[in-house]
Amino acid sequence: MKILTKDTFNSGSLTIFIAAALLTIISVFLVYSANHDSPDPRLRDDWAKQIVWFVIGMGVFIAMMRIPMRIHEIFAYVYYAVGCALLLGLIAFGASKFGAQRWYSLGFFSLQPSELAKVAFLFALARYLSYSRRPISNLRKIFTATAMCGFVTFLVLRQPDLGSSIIFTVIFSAMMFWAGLPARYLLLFYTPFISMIASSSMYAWIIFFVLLIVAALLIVRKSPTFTILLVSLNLFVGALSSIAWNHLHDYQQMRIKIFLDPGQDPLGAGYQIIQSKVAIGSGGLLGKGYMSGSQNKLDFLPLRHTDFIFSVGAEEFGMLGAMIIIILFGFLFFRGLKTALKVRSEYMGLVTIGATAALAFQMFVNIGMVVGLLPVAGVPLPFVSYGGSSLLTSWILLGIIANAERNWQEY
Amino acid sequence: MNSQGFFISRGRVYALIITVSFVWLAIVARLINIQIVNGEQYSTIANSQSRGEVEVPAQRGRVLDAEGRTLASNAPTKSFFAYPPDEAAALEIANVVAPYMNTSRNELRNKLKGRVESFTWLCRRLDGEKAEALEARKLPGLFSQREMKRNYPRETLGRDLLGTVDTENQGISGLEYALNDVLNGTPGKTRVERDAVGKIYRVASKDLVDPRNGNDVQLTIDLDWQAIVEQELKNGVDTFSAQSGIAVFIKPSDGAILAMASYYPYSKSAATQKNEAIADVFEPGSVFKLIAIAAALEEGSSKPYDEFDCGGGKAQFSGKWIHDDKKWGRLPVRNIFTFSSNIGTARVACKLGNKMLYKYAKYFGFGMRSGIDMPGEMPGLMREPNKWSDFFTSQFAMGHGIGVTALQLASAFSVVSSEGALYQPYIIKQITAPTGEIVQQHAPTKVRTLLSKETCETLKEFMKAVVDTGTAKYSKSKVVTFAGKTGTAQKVNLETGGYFQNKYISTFAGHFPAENPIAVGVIVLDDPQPLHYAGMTSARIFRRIAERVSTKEKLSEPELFAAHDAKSAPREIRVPELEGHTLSTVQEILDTIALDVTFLNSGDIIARQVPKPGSILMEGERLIVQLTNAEPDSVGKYAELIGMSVRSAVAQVRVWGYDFDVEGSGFVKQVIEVSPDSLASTRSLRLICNVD
Repeated sequence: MKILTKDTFNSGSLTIFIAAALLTIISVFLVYSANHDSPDPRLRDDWAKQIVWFVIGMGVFIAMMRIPMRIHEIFAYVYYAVGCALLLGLIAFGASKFGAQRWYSLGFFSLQPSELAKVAFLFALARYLSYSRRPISNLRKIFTATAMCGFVTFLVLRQPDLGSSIIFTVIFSAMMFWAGLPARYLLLFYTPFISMIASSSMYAWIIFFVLLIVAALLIVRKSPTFTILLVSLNLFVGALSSIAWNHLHDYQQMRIKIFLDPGQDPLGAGYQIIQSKVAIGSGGLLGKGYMSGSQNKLDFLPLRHTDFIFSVGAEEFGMLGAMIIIILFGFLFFRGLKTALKVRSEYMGLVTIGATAALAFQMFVNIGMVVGLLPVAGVPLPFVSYGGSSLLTSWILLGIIANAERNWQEY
Repeated sequence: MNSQGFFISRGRVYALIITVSFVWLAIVARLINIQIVNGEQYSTIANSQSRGEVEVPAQRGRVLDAEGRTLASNAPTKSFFAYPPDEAAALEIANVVAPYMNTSRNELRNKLKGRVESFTWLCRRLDGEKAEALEARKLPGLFSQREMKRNYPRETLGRDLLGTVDTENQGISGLEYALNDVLNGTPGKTRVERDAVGKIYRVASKDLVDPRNGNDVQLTIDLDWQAIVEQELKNGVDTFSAQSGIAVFIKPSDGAILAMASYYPYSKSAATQKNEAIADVFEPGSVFKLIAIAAALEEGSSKPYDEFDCGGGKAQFSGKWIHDDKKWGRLPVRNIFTFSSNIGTARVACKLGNKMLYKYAKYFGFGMRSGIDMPGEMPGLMREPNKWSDFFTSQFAMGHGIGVTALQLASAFSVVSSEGALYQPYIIKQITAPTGEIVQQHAPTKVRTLLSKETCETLKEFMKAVVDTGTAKYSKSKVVTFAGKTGTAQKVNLETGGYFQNKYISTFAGHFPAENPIAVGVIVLDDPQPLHYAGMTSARIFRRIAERVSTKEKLSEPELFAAHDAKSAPREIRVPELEGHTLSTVQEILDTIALDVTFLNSGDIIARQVPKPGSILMEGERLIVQLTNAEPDSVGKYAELIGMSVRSAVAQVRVWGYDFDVEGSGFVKQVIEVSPDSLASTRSLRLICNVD
């Protein structure tokens, strides 16, 4: 089979390819600006490495687009097993960095199995949901799907890698939602987390309960038992977390406080957020010009070629540049959603919505972090942050969407 | 929607679209808030973080010698600091940099432990090659910054005079301190951008204010002279076992300081940053007799060949006794000066009159600061007493009861060499702005003319006679003629207020060449042992300096650094042990040794030798051997016998080959030297013994 032919792309897959390619080209320029004159000589060639990864990423994208989805459907559970095995193997063989085991060091490349596991989980969950004859509201089906997610999430969480493990639950939620899981279950899954955070302030907690009860009345009005279960679970979790808070170590409390108010720790994690906001804010409407961002050039901006690459763009190209990046992302998500709606195969639809959700969530978490809306989570910006693992996974996920777009008529 | 596969409710799709759009819009809103609404504020923060004005340091001026050779300049150096990206880098930095910091790797590792991504100074002001070697390693996390460092290319040469600077390049001692304002420039200002570590990232192409470099200062010091004076003073202090030494040489024609040095073989307190030549005040002794003689000749109260009665070694003034070393009868003024007779000088001074003597002492510059352009000068001690007596007058004429500095002496002696004029001594020849413009140039300042040319010629002849036939005859040179006056004064005991019995300040002040002097110099030795006569100690140092300066027109650069073992220097000879031996036993050694052996006194026992055994002399230098027959104070020489058993003591005395007799028994308590029979060739000791 010839990989590149005249009909490699259809119009839909070509547009999403171009949008993602633009993001990656922007990435190369931003990484160059961030690192080409870095005091650390090891970082100076990162822009060139990013080009290499771009080329590899495009190859992987086209491969993902052209390999029939049926193959992934057949091997979905095998992928899942391999993904989990690699994650388990990390415990024994992984390379440790900053106290976390996230990589296999392969010499030229650090393999991050949680990235592969994301894709494997996508295929496996889609297969389970689309093959099982039970209705989605069946508790056994919900439990099995939750267990599939829970196991792999646990393995990632214990690395520890909170950012990646949350992505698994997001993929899971999006696919379950797409598969038709009743909204009350989603409420039951996620409101306790909100309750936990809201419980830090009595006012926030009261407002949360008002909203919760309103939502419960709207969504699950037919089942008062469920409403009582929902509310009491949230009360329990909220109360428990208040108690747990007092048992947290000072540094743990500090981290949470810093998330709520970065100004409390201007030299630690808060420093990163403050500097990021200063960089973005001082960019203004049109930016300071390419390679002229003082916060970038003068080393104020931390991790500026990876997690904070968006800040470099926003400083040097201003609001205008930042909008180009998020509009390109918005376009990708819109296309993803449209494709998920268009495809005829349930399996393909689930996979597409999962891939789109993974990309969208990462983008929101990353940009939310650099603009100070969300805590520092260590999630890279898809296509734009420097790094082979991140870039390849992004292109694989996009390849899945493009495949669905191209073969929407298949069952 | 899709009819064949599965069904998804319209509501769910809307819910998804609304959720995604909401989050997307939240981010857009946030960007608008940060970049547009608060953009100005964040720009201000960004600028305050990274922009600033810094001083552009001005270069400190150089210090040059009279010939324009550099004594102090500036060298570019690099200061290194660490900002390691990770533990591994910190470890490597510690391993590589430790040897450059003279610290152990372990210590530096501990210092850098936990300093990942933070700033740590490593070594400040590392010079050229070392800095380049360290930079060439290109270690991640190791950074450098340019800084200027004060550089003394001739290292220790003249350093006591120059002083030193602190880490901020501000003078803290010596001329660096005194001339700090002249040498310091005015720093300029420039705009910079700094990075998060505070390192300057970008410097504006044009300075806001240009720095103005400091002025260059040219001294009157001549490096050749300074090197020779320092070397010979050190040599002399070591050879004569003195506590310290001071040397000053000035140009008589205008008072320019040619060389100025001091040397302490033992520890010199780090706190004393004084310049001994202008700050140490001592009692001059006989060297001061020049003043009385000069005044008497100038005033005509005495003529050079007027004779005075020297009383056969002792005479009374105002009821108090004054002694001479030798029992002179009548001496002419000339010989009073050359043999340094105390009684003769006292008589000349009394004839001159105390008021006149005091007036001349002031004319010569004593009792007040010379006004030299250096800090820390002391005025010395000289007060007109309420009541003059002949005794006081004679003490004054002999240089007792007053305090002078070495520079005052040199200045006073230069009057003789400059046809009677006293010039204010100075050390700063010229100050030049960095533009080349001369800011200040010294014009010789004649303070007064106090002696006639004739008096000066007479005094020069007197002073030459001191070296040719007088108190300094043992230091006469075959190479160069020189003239001067010796002074050996008992050292003042600051604790008791009296004098040490056996400690002396030995001074020689004079000029060379004798006929047409080019330099006047003073050598002061504090407590030379065992020989203290200035004529054999200080005068010898003066001679060595005069010889070396006159035989070399211009010394080549390397010689400035070489110690006394310069290529033209003769062979070194280790002085043998002679003291205590009879002349006959060492005659063979003395006959063959390549030294100029001079015998003092007569006798066949070697009582003293100068320099002491084990010293190093140059081939052809003088070895002074003092002979004796018997000395009243010789108990000390036999001190080793005290406490010995009679048997051991007798054995020792036999080894020496002396006759002896023993009183009592047990252990030796006292040794008395019995004057030998004039016919006997051996001396006799009486050992007085006691049982307990």
